[in-house]
Amino acid sequence: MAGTLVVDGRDMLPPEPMERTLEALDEVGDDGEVLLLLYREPFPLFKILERNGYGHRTTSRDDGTFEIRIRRVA
Amino acid sequence: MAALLSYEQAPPLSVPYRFFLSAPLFAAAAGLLLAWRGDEVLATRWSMPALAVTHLMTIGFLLQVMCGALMQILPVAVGTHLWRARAVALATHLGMSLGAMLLAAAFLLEKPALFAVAVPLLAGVVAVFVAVVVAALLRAPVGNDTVRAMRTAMLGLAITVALGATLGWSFVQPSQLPIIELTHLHAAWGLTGWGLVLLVGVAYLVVPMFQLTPPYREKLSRWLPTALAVALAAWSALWLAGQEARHWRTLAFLAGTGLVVWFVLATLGLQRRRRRKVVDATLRLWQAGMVCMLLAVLLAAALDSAEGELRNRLEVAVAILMLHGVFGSVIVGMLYKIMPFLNWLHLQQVVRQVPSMRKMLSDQAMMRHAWTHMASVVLLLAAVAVPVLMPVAGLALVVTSLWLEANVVRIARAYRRVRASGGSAPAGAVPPCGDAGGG
Repeated sequence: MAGTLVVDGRDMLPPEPMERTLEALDEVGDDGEVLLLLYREPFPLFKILERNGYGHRTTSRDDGTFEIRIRRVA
Repeated sequence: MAALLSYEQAPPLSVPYRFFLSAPLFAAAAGLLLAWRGDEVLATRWSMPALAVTHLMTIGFLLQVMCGALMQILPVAVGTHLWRARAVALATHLGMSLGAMLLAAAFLLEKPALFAVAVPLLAGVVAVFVAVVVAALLRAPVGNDTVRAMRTAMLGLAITVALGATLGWSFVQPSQLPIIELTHLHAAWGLTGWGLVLLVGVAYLVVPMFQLTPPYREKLSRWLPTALAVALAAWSALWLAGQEARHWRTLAFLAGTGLVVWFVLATLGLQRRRRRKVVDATLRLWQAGMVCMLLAVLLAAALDSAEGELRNRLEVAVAILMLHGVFGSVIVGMLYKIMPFLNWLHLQQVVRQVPSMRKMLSDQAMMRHAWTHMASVVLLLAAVAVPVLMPVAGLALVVTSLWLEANVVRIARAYRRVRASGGSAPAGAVPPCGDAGGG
């Protein structure tokens, strides 16, 4: 399934955002993208993504939300 | 994808758990000492039993848990590595445990030979710990407010221990130094420059994360730790300047008090606006900690106008509020979030079906202990006003500390059990035997 799947983890307690993100990555496949929204940078997740062939791009919003866009590295 | 997970940036579970598992025993020892020699502790904070109780709590319990938590938080939440984490944790843990026991014994027995071993040992292990943490903080990939607060807190810890080592060594080799003044500075830097600044920095991270509150306002989170340290440095310099600087010193104290009240009100306000309306042990313990902090600064403000026995009692009450009421409550609350989360994080590496964090220790079990902890704070404060209660209050501290020990052991065992079963064992079942910690 290509396209972007949004995981809004801002109202979730750890470790649910990480679990949902990993499930979402399985769901979108190699061509899709997952957009994770959090109030912090998820360092443990970054390392997992790197080791499993995913790249991520992080931007921050004025309200303190971090937008983390994750997709498979070509 | 779960089977492929790797958490190489997270240190082994044994790194933080060795601290978490031994620390409550020191608080229990402090409670026993209070039950046994509480009258001397109440008489004056300068009595030897009072100094022994204080250091069992500050080094044995608080410093140990803070060190363990820092070694875990830095890699996982700040994204930076610790140099030789396992070896540093082993050395720091052994040194602090042995050092705290020797220092308490040195105060109780008034033996210079024990100070001669305890002081260099504690100064040495803390110096190594500070060096490793500061190096990691300087390498941190982000320069957020938590990182800045932690850097300031490490400076506070270094100053606290340098002052403490100087004071401790004066029992080995009498000196001409102004011991009373240096003791005030040692206590102020330990409580504020180290403990409070670290608590503030960690709060920026964990209050929004675990209680689902909005983030702290940028103005507060950016400036508060630095402003607290500056107010403390000014107060310290004015303290050494003597009586003629008394009014300026009061001003610096009031500035620091205002900053603390700002933080407390901001935290309570954020918790009221939390998006997760469930009340759990961590929330209640944080709230209790914030209320104790307000009471502590109010009583500390009244110290200057009190004399004689009233002043002695107020000083003991402030110490109880800060050590057990503020830091003790927040630490217990955080252990109940951090340990199940760490279990989950590490179990992801080895089992496919990781049980929910809530199954590591039930909410009810945590809440029952949280109320006992808060009752022990109230009892200890009551004993300051009614000294005949002190043996009971001391035993209450023993009970709540051993209860905490039992709960952290249960959480650690849940990790071992699930790991050994490959995910098929229920996390909450009580095992017939097994060891704790590891990883």
